[in-house]
Amino acid sequence: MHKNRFSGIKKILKKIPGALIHILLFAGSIITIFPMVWMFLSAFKPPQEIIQIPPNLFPTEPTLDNFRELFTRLPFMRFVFNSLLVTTASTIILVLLTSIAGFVFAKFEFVGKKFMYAVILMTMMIADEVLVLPLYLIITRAHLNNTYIALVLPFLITGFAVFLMRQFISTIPSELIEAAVIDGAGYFRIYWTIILPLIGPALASLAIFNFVWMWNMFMWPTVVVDTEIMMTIPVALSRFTSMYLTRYDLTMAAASVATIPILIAYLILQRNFVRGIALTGLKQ
Amino acid sequence: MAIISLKRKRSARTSTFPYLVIYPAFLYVIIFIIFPMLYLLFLSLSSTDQFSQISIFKGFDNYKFLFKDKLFWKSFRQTLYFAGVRLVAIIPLSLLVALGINQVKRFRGFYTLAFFSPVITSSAAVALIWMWIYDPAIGLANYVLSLFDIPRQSFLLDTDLALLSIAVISIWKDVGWYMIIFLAGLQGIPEVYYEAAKIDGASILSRFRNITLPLLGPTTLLVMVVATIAALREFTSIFIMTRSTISGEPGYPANSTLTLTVYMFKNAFLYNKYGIGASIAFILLIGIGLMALIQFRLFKVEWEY
Repeated sequence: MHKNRFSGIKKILKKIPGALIHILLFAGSIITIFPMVWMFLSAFKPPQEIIQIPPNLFPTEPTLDNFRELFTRLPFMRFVFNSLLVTTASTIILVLLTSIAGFVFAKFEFVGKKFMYAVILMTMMIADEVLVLPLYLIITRAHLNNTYIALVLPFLITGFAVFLMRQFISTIPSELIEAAVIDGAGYFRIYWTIILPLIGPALASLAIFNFVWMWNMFMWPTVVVDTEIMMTIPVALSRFTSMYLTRYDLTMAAASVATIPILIAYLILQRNFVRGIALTGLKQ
Repeated sequence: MAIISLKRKRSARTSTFPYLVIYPAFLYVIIFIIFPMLYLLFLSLSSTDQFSQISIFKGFDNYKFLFKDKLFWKSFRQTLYFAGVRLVAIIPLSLLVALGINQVKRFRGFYTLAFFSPVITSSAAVALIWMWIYDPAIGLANYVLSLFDIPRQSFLLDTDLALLSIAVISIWKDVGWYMIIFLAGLQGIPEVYYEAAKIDGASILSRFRNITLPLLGPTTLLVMVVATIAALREFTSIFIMTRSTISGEPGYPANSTLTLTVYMFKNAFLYNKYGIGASIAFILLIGIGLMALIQFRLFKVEWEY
């Protein structure tokens, strides 16, 4: 980044630190992605190759048997469907609800605004894990266990999302809205036709955040679902370890299936995701 | 802020739009966040019969019980140990990676993707991968150790090593996350400082020590707080990797991997001791809340910076 203004011999040495940084970063990258690569490659290995020592990196006779066994022994298709449905539906609803709430908090004055915004900000300090027990008892009392509604209901509005949306919408000039009001547009139309298109990147950040979070969510679906057909992928994976303890060929295939959709979603929305964290650094 | 005056003049009386949006949204927050929080407090102060589901108010009995409960203190110590090990490794690692990526122009996307891929992978999948890597007989970890003539380890089955082994996974998984926060911090340092230092003839090292490090102070503190919160909340990997093959309960071997979150879950959902589980959850809520409060403060500093 910064050109050194050193004279003499140092000019020759200038290129070396750059190359060294690349070597170190590259080594770090390889070490970091190795377990994932190992998982993907091993998913295509037959059982005897899994237990072989020294291990092979690449499968010598790649096979799809593990995936075939996975999808025939268990309703794995159903788990994938459940995860996709729960994740997509909750993400769409959350993005719409919190963006309109963010719009109102950013651009309107109303009775109780300060109080309500303070309460919503306060909820950002509460970790989801600690509310699992009371939420579980509420859901149980409402007889909603083992339903899709139970899987998504507590996560449709989060303080973090409202905060993020309000921050972005605050930067939109109010004149735009005033002009639309003078033209006779209703506020919902303004939200839909002016605000939403303008906060596209922020929406994408929030969407991918929430997608990853819901896709990987574990504690809540574990307690609220106990029938096989309602399980999401992470829950199925956890049951899996006790069922097929050392069938690593199967567990690697299952873990791969759990990872691929999220990697695809990440690759599509990568920029937004990284920017989202950089902007907030808040959500874990 | 012109819109506000406009609202006051024209629509504060006529428009019901903000109320139609915010009141239901706020009601939702009350029902699904505020009420459960109060309910949690109530549960922690009572004893609930698991069959009749009737709760009887017991005051601080559950907290008194936990205060004398050896397993609670063990979980407490182990949670601190887990958070500490993670912190000590993850701060320098993620800072180094961020410094490196900030220096290079090429392959940035690749490096970011590489360090970020474990962050977005589900903890459940990560647990499955590493259970195999840590397998004492056919796992990769022992194979790698054998290449360096280091004796075999039993990792997750060893009371001294199990929690450390999981901390290593957790470090590996989250470096990319904190790297991004550091990267944002680095990019927030005005270039003019470096220019000025270069004119004064400061070396790379002295520029790093006198400009980068002090200006990264708030970011480092932010990462420390975020990393501590993450450690306190860690559940999925520990739960999946430490279940006893016989009882199916997490914390194996010999409760050496029990952390507060896992102990909370165990009491609430495996033993149906709602009161005890709720008390641990409430203690966690306070602890994490205090950390989050610091995070908020730091974050405001960052925001205005």
